[in-house]
Amino acid sequence: MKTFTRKSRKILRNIFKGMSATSLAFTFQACYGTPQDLGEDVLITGVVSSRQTDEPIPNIKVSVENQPQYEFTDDNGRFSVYALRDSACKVRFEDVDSAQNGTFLPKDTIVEALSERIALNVSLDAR
Amino acid sequence: MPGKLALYLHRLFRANETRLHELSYLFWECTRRCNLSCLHCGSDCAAGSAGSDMPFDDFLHAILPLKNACDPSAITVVITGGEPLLRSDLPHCGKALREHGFRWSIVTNGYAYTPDAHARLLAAGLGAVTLSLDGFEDAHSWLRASRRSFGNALKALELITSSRRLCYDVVTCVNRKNIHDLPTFKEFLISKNVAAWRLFTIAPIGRAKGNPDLQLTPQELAQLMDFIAHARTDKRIAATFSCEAYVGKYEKKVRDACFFCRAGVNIASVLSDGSISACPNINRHFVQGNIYRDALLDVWSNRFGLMRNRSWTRTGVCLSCKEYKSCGGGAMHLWSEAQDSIMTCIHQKMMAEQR
Repeated sequence: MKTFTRKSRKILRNIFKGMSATSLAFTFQACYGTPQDLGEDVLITGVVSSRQTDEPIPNIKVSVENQPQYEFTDDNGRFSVYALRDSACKVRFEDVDSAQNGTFLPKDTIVEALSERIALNVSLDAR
Repeated sequence: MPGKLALYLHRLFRANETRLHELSYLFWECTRRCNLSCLHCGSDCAAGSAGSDMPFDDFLHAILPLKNACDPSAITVVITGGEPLLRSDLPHCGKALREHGFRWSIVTNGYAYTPDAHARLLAAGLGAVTLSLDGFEDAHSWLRASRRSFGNALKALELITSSRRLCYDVVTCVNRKNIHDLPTFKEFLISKNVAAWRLFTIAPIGRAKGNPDLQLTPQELAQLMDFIAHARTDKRIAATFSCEAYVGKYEKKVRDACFFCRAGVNIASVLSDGSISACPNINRHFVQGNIYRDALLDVWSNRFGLMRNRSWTRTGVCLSCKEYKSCGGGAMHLWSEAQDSIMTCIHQKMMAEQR
């Protein structure tokens, strides 16, 4: 065994994998840890700005339909939110801080969410 | 007894993985603060735990060089504590980990897992959760030493099971007060749409040391194994025994894979004081370095010798054990600094009972 190179040990691992009826031995879980994350999601990033002034809008709530997660745009109108990777997801932009940063109409955008990352710049109309 | 050929192949597999020692599971003990004071806490954390939380930038600085040596997406950063939800910057930490390519997950007692926390964590790319639920209200509240803990954990459970994104499991620490409820508790979990359930025994470390109500008798250990083996025939829920100990004839009946303690083989941790170890519940005598002095990648590559060559564990009760080769010296967290004998051995306890 001592003469095995790293490369040959990886080949040996694949042989074990092939012999195993389950891949679970390779996606182990520490006794006091969590399952490993084998899920897939998409990172949706972008900037929200005013259609009238082109200025970024802070504190716009960005959410994904039928999913609980949401995020608020920062002072530069930027946001980033992870969502379930799906054939299509509806991203909603809402002004929820009343008149604090101006008032804007909500907007829904449907995106194809099959890649790891989506860039999405959105303009909102003033109310 | 699993087939001899299967055990032999498993030993070869274990030896090969040990030589490869690829890091794929990195605990971060982000805080030692906790909102509960559980009777069995292995790390002895509590509300008043001393020491501040580790600054996230310190942790990030320590792990970024790992990207030069391996694919970060193959590493899950398991955030633990204390209770990780007590850190208000947890979503920020998680999002930054994802930006650098790492996956992340949390181990939580569920007490502070509110709908808002759930939404913010998912938005930050949380991928997996382990939630503690130790039986029905009386048993859970007793072990967690909090009357509200059960209700809050149930609310957390509903949020977690409703997510299509999260990989999760519910863990139950089996003890003398809840073992007889396991069949009805299993039905309860199924009614709550729980898909994955992991059962533990409680190691006699931390606050659990010296509490006889927490340690199962040999008969109860066998009862637990029989229960899990039977529960695994029920396809409505994936019940499994934690990979915490070798269990002899029950290997493969209570888990998908044979016992393999991967501490220091595939698992490392960064503890709240910067110590580099394997699992956080391992005796601090086995600490291998500190991120404030040492490079994590260097420590991972060149130290951890005691965990990758465990021939020293063939001592004490392991010395004459006929199944030592299959077990490999048990779990690292059951060895004290004296290194003279494993603290407890489920297999030997059950064997003694049969004799």
